[in-house]
Amino acid sequence: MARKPTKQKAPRQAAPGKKASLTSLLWVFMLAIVIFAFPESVILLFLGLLPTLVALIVDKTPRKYSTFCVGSMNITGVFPSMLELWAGQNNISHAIDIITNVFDLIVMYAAATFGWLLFMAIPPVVNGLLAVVAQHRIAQLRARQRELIKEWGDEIIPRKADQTEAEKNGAGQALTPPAAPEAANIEDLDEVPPAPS
Amino acid sequence: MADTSTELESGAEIGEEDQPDIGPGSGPEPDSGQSSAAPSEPEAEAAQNTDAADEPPAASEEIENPEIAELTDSPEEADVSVDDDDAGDSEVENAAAPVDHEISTDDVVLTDDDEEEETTEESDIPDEAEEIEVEEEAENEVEIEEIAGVTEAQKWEDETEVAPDSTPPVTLSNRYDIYPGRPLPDLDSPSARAFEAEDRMQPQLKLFALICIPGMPVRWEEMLEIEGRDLPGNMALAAYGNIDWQLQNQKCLALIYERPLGGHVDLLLKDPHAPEYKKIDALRLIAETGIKALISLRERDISHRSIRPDNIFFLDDDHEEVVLGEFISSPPGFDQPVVFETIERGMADEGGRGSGTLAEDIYALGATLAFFLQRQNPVRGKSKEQLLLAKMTTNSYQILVGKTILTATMLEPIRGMLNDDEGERWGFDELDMWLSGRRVPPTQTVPVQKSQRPFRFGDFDHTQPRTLAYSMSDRRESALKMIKDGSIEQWYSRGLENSEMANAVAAAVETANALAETDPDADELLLTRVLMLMDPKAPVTYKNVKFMTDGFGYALGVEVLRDGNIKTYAESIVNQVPGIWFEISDGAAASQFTELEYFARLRSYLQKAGPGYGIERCLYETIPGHACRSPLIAKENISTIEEILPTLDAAEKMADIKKSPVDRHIAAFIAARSEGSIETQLGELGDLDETIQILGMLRLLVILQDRMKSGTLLGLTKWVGGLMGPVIKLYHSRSTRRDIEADVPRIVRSGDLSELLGLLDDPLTRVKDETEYQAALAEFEEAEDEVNEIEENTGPGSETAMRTSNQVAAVTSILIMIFILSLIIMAG
Repeated sequence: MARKPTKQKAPRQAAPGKKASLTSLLWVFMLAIVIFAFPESVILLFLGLLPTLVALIVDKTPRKYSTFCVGSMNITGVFPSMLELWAGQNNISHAIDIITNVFDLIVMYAAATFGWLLFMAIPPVVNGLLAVVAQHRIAQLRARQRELIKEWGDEIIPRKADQTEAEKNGAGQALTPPAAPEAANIEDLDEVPPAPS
Repeated sequence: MADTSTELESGAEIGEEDQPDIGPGSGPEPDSGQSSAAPSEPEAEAAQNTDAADEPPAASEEIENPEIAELTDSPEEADVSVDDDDAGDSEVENAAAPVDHEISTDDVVLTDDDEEEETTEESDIPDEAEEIEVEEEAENEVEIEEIAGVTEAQKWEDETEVAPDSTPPVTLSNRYDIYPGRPLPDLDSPSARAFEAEDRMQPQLKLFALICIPGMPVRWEEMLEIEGRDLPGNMALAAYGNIDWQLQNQKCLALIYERPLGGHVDLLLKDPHAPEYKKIDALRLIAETGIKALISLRERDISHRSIRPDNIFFLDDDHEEVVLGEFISSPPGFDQPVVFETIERGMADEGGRGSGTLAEDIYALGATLAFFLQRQNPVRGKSKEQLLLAKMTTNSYQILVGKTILTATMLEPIRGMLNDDEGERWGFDELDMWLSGRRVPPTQTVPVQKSQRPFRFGDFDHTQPRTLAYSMSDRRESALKMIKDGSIEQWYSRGLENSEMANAVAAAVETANALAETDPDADELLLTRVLMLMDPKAPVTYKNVKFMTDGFGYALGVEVLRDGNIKTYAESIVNQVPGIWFEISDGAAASQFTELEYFARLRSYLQKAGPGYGIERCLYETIPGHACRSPLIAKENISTIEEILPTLDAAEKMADIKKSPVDRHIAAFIAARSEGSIETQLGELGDLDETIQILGMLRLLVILQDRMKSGTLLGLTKWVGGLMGPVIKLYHSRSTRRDIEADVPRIVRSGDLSELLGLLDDPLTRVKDETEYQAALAEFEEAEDEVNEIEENTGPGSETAMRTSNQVAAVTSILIMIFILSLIIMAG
């Protein structure tokens, strides 16, 4: 009985590996077909999208947000040259002409640079916006908690929070005084807790 | 006759030492000693002849007792010591041997016929007799204790001021005026003082009032039974009730009786100038009336238990009618000198003598007649112990009836009535036969087993287990030592040749030894059991208390009044001592199951510690009509449940309203007197949580207010309302609390406790409060969690914030790309 799971598990573990290698093989096969079928486009894309390739290599995060930013803008810069290639002779020499054209390269790489700028500029702005929204929400919740305490007394505050949560944040400290006050003194607690910065 | 009454009343004529021994406890018994007043023999013979026609055939025509055996002056002399050579192993105790009536009390001279028998009763102890010397304990200990115990009535009288004659009367039931300034000391009872009283509706009636000692247990049920009824031969109780008695600065129970106009019967009987025939007529009148009085009490299943010489009165000035005095103002037998009590009940503490039966009354009537009958007091100077030992060693008749008597015609009924064996004692059939002039067949006396070897203990040579048991009960340490060292067992097996009892004692010792380590009272229980084995008829004896099983409540009540040894009474119940008594004394009698259940119920009360239980509950359960002893309302002297709420309502002005109006005494009083079950409320009263206690108290009062229909109780509602702070705080909602606090004053003004309870303990409000509180609690926790989550996720370096912002950047780039590519495609 104990061996059965082991026997069943082994084939299941082996299957994804085979599938992955098969997928990779398919990709390589398709890439090879594309390279041999459209060599001019591949040369243009490879050289034009070098910043994206660099970003992909540099970005160690799992979701590769910087690659998305740089790549999107890089594609935008490469796209006019691709149209020119496809609309013209569409051969390797024309592709080499385009990539040797400084103006075209500047457009491609400048667009990629803009992508980097976006990736660097947008997150701090978004962070700031998120903080403002959170502060507003916390203020709302604290106000509601004060109303509850006023109506139900300080016994409504979970006792565990006294020692754990209160030490972690200022709001918790304000709402959970060391000694539970009398109901008449609950108003003393009715002060706005410091919002998180 | 005159001597006895003199001694019993005041002792004025014969000195201080001969003062009456009336009241709880008994010191030396009344002394006669008035030989000078004794009529000469011819005079007595004349008197005898006067009654001859009415009398049953008398054994002798002599005026001195021809039947009585010669009495010794002390129990030691009366003791029966049997030497080893004596052929008889047992002797008949109750046999009354004829004796030469001319022999003085100091000499022991026997008639020829009885010489052989009486030899066995000589006080000399044979040298061969095995004597067991025991460490002596003070013999007069009991006497001293009892003298100390007498003092309730005396103290009360001492503390009572004497009101001037002009003091306005106190009115009972808007009908009877009682005059505090007009005391009637001649009509005083030992436990109640007498005052003049008038009936507004019938001013011509001669009445008097007895003011009872506050806190003294009275015979409530008997009082209810006889109020307003005509009981022939008994003093008529016209009314009773609490009155505001300024002399005591509190309320006292007043008993209104028809006043006997002729005074005490002993006024006549002690008069040396009164003719003998009048005294003898009076004596017969007392006997006849006493029997009629007891018959009338029998119809109502009541015992009198207070028949004694100073409690019999002439109803009229012509001395043609007599009545027995009152018996309500104190526990049964409490005021009786021990000489008028049967041996068994005389052994008990004064409060614990028990209601008994009319057999005890017949005995007391016989003893009273015996006292009136004679010119000398044969029990003069005897302590309680001496008297009881003497009664046990010989018999009551021999002890109480001396040699010099007024008439021999009364001897037959007196002997019948003084029979120590209740089964052989004259009953109403025999008394009827005697009244109608028929001869009553003599009763058989039961031989008493006696030891060949006297057992010396307490400076007394015992030949009967019964006397030894009584002496041991007063000297417990020495007694226990004797039991443990096997002396008692040995005496039973060798002296009494009763191996069965010897084995029973040995088994009891063995059991006690086995329990010694686990039960701290094992030794006391051993002694109790052995004493019961030795004298099954004796009262329940435990440590230093003795009580009959039907007198437990009154004994407890008296101890509470004396602030005495209550704990021992409680211990006796917890240790199931009455159960041992029933097991040994009563065998398998069916009646014991009811009694056992009764004591088991008391035990269950004692095993609970909360208010409404404990010794207080036992007190009120066992004494019907006992006044509530709570310090809050003790001065109101209330006895019925109907009075409790109005009394508490009135007490609000004087009491400390920060304390609960229901203390242990009041809770127990309510529990004992209430008809319905209030166990739930009592359980709440005993809860550790103060709020539950207060709510329980309020619920209890509301139940009472509803049941008693007490109406508006402004003071009590205010009192209780002021204690409701903790209850209001049971509600979580502050707004609900404020609403309730705002409503309380309005309800206090209405005086309705149930409305107050409805406000404070509304189930709907409470459920709503609890539900909303739980919801608020959950909401608060959710808010706290959300705040924590927000603070955690929107921090400067938080992963979520970084991820979100990066996502925004990536999406923005993609959107720009799509836009530009779309423009290029559309342009191209």
